[in-house]
Formats: sequence, C-alpha cells, structure tokens
Amino acid sequence: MTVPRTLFATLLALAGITSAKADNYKIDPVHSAIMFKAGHFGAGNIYGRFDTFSGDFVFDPNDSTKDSVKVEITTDSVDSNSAARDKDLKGPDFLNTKQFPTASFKSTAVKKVDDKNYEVAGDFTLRGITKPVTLAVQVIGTGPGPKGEIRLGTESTVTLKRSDFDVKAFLPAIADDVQLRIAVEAIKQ
Amino acid sequence: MGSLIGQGIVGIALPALLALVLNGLVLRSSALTESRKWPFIGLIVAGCFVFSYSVIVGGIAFPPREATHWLPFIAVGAVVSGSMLQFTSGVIRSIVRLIAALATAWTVLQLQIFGRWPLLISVEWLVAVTLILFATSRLIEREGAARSTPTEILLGMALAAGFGGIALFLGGSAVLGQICGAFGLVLAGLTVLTFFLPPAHLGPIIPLIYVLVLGSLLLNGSLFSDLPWPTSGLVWIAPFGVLIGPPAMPFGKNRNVRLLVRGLIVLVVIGLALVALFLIVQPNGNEY
Repeated sequence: MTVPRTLFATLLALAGITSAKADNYKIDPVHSAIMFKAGHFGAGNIYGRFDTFSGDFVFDPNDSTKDSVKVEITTDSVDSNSAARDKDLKGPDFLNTKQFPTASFKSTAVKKVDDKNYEVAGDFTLRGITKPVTLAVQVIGTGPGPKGEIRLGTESTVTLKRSDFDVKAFLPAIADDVQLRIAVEAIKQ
Repeated sequence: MGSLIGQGIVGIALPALLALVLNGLVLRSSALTESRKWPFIGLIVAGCFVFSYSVIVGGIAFPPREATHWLPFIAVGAVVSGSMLQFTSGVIRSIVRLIAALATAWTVLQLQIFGRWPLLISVEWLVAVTLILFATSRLIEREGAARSTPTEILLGMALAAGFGGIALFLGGSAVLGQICGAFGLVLAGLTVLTFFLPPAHLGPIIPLIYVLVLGSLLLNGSLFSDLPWPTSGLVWIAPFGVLIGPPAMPFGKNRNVRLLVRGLIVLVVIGLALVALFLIVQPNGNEY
C-alpha cells in the first residue's frame, strides 16, 4: 500500500505544479498605500504619502521568472499632512508635478528569496529620470475578500537617493535618502 | 540649519560680492572703451548668476530637461545675443532680439508644448511670451537710454529682481527665489558702481540678460509654482517706473533726488505686487 500512496501523492503534487499559472492582480487603491519618509534636519523624520496611484502585477508562487510589477503614482497627490508643505513638494523645487505629473516603477526581474520574500529589480522614474532600484517585497498573505474575490497583500520597501532624481533642494538639511514603503492589496483578475 | 545658511552665503552673497569687485575693476579700467566694457560686465553678471544657480540648485544639468535647467544657458545666451545687439544695427538687431526672445520662451514652455497643451494654446503661449520678452527688452533699452540714466535703469532692474526673488520664495519656490534674489544683488552692486562711476550709456547687454533671466524665473514661478500672475506682471512692469518723468541728465544737480523718486515709484509697484501675492496665495514661509 505504501508504493501506491506515494505515487498518488507525487501525482497530486505534479498536478499542482503543472496547473499553477501566473495570475494577474490589480492593485486595490482603497486598501493600499504608498508612503515615504525623509530625515528632517537630522532630528526626526517627515512622513508623507501619495493618495493616487494604480498598478498591477503578475504573480506565480512557483516561478518567479513569470512575475512582474508595474506601478504608476500621480505625483500631484502627495500628502505630507501640511497643505503649505504639500504646495512646496508639488512645486519645481521638489516633485515639479506640473512638468512631471507621474512617477512610475516597472520591474525588470523578480527573484524569490523564500516563500514570503522577493527581491524585485526594476526601473523607477521620477522627474523624468529613470534609475534602477531593487524593492524588498514581503508577501503578507492571500485570502478571499467580501465578494469572494481573491486578494493578495504585499509590503515593499526601497530607499532612494532623491538627488539621483534631481530633487536636490535643501540638501542635506532634508536628507538625501528617502524611504518608500509600498503596501498593497491586489485583487486577482 | 547651518548648511542652509552656508549655502545662502556661498550661493547669494559670494557671487554678489564677486560681481561687485570684478565689475568695479572693469568700469574703472582705462584700457577698454565704454562700449567694450559692457560685454565684459555682461559676462561677469551671467557668470555670477551661473555660479549662484549651480550652488543653490546643486549643479548644472546637462542636457537640460526641465524649464529651470535652462536658466544658466539663457544667461550665457543673453550675453552672446546682447553683444550681437551692441555691435549690429537695423533689421539684424531685431532678428537677433527676436531669436533670443523666442529661444527663451521655448525653453520655458517646451515641456508643456510637447503633448501637454493643445497645439493652438501652445502656439499662443509661445508667441505671447516671445513678444513680451522682445518688446520689454527693446523698451528698456531704447526708452531707458532716452529717458533715464544707466544707474536709474539698473536700480529699477535690481529692485525688480531682488523683490521678485522674495515674491518667488514666498510664492512656493525657495530655490527660484534664492536664485532670483542673488541676481537682484548682482544688479544692485552694478547699480552702486554706476552711481559712483557713471557710464555714458547702458547698452543692450545688461537689459537683455535681465529681461531673459527674470522673464524665465517669473514664468517658471507662475506656470509651475504658486506665484500669482498679477504679482509676476507687476514685478515685470515695475522697472518702467524709472521712465516716468522728463529725461534725466546724468550729471544734473538733482540727480540723487530723481534717482530716489524713481526708485520709490518702482518700489510702489513692487509693493502692489507683494500685496497681490499675500492676498492671492497667503504665503506659508516654506515650512519644510
């Protein structure tokens, strides 16, 4: 009985692998957030977020070569909890949103570190400048939503040098390193 | 905070002081005829502006991608164009001035023109800005020469650029504000020099640098930041205050009074510009 049972288990596993395919997910902006943090005069950190963004990704838990990510951020939606500062952040000294209304990330390679962690390399574009960056992505979990849809949650972090993107105002009083945290819930399409 | 003050000293005070010393040497030089002094003075003004820009912005972007990236190139281009104006006449002068105005308008508007605005709107903006730059530089040069002393014209330009810097700073761009303020200080130094070493004429170079550089700064402020258009407009017309009244005599005994009165007229217009700014945008003082 041992041999047939093992064979059965192996067949089941193989069936699982072969039936697994890359799934398309669309970011649910209502349950997602793109936040940033920048050092302020060496004393503390300023936190802010972008309220408008969109994106989608392809995710295959068994084959990360099929995975890809695409995110577009509306720069004019920056919100740092100060209307006065937001006006400056939108202006030509920082994000220059009228000339560069969007920032974007597009992956070029995804590497699986373990079942929960991935390294997503890609191109980040801000103020018309594109630089390669690598996001550390953690898969939070997956589960059904209220309408039965499949949801997948991830959190990603990356630290950028704002000077790389020509955002040089008030260096070094406002730190060059800006940490981006992208927390998304995405819905399987 | 210390680094910001240090940046202000190196980016604003140092170029202003440097321009004062170098322009003083050129104005005092007996080796150069007066018409040959202005290209050198233009180069010094543009050079100090470029220095100030590179310190405050953190370098010069090449190739330029954004409207403000073109500012140093506009300053240098204005010296070249202004020198051509000085040594040419007739239709060629008008063509050179028109090309300089069109090129400056293009650099400010280019990113909006490529796909952001409808074609007709883009063409209208390009034509309007070109004509305003063209007409203003011609007016300051010709009417200024006929009605004012070089010191009076320079005073009007220095006040407009200096307070224009404050307006830009309060209007949402601390960087553009500092650059413009530094430009105003450089012109203020030249104003003081021409008061004590009065030249016979101002020539076209400095007015052209002023018009193209300040025009770009104000346009950038109003198009891409929160500088209100009425403020930009009033700062723009403020130097014309030195044209009010009968023609000035450079060595007349009432020279100082005239200079003071004309300076005050300019200041009144600038005051209105700042009132408009405070009424329209309620500046925030750049709370970073």
